[in-house]
Amino acid sequence: MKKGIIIFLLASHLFLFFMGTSFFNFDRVPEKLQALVIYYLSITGGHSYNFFSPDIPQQVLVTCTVTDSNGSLFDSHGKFHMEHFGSTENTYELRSDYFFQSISNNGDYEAAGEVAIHHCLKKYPKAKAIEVVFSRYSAPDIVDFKEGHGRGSLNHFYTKNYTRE
Amino acid sequence: MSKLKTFFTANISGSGWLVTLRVGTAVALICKIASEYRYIDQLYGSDGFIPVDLAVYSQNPHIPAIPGIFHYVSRFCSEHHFLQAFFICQLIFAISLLAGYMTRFSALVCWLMMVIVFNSSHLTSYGFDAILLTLLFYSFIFPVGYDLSMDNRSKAKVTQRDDSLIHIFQKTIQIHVCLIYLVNGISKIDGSLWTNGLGLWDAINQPQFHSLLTPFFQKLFMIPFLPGLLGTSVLIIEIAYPFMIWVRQTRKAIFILIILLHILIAVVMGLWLFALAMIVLNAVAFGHVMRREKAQET
Repeated sequence: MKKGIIIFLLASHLFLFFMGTSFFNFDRVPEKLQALVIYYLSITGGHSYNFFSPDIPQQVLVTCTVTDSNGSLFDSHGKFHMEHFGSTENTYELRSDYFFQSISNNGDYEAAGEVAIHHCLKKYPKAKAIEVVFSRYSAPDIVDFKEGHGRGSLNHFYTKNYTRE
Repeated sequence: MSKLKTFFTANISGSGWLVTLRVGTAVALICKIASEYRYIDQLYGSDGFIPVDLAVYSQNPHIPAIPGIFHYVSRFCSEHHFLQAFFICQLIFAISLLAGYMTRFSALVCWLMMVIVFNSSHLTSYGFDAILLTLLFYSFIFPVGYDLSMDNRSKAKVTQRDDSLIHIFQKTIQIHVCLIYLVNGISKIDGSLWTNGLGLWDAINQPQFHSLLTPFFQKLFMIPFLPGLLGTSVLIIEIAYPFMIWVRQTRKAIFILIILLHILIAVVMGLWLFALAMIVLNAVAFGHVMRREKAQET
């Protein structure tokens, strides 16, 4: 009896995981049950694993240009006030990069822009203006690259501006 | 029917996989904490990278989150000290899990704390976090303290254990792993960039995956047919894995291929933690099956 209950629970667990995959039509599930399933998947890690399926998306690069209170783009050391998001050199950069990738894939550029501005204001508290530019990176054409003149390109698609009043 | 029963009930790998699950999960969790500790304020603080006003929209309101918990203890300490205490506490229990001391309780604490962390950082999470949460969940519900643990030093405890369900527990993880690869492999069929290799070419050129080996891989992709071959291989390996892993004659080959795939992902894309978690999952599911088969042959 005990063994049967355990087997039933484990089978249910696997079925709930299957419900969280892209194969399962979640819309058919009643709303209240959906909430329960999502809750269970949230605590067991049973989300739909992407694994770059169906394709590896183009990377979204975010560049912030900061103008200080004197109207300058450079600080006192001659360093350009610019923040980039798009590397994975450490955990913080990896996770901030993932934020911009996932939120951009959802089309919520407004929220992403707010986050970028928030980050810049923390780093440059006296900033007068911040321009956040979202671009999609396109890899160089493989044939052009082979011939020696292939370059990656950035396709800008969204800009958000902040000006201190 | 009897073959089906044998499939689910035959204990072909013993209980060594439970040790791999416990140790592998604890190591993955320790690596995560170690890599993030210096950034805990930026990643989990209310004034961190994601403002708390935005973060709260992505959180499940029925699961605790770090800012919510801090609200109750804010009169006793600063947020920075709270975050330090939280992750140090998780680290201590991860080490305890690694050693197999108060195993189930340690696994429970690690799992619950990871649930809180995952809910607090949905917007910055990726595949590794979900896989680690799964591993921690399994570490809690399965008897991972059975072997090679501080808890198991007592002979009296050894005689009390019940091994009758261990094969069922492992079968659960095996089916889970197969589902992961099958779903993602079939999903990739829709993506033409995988079959012609351009998806991989795009990936290695992306700034987020740039490494010292990028120029080498760029040159490698100049070899005719190689991009398409590599992309199609990834697809085939993922789809074939759930079937070939059950056949004794092909198990070793597909296992090695999937491990190599994850190592390549780590090397090319820098996703070391993700690769570690997936390798642990594979080793837990099928690593000991092959080890036992090899031992039986000799």
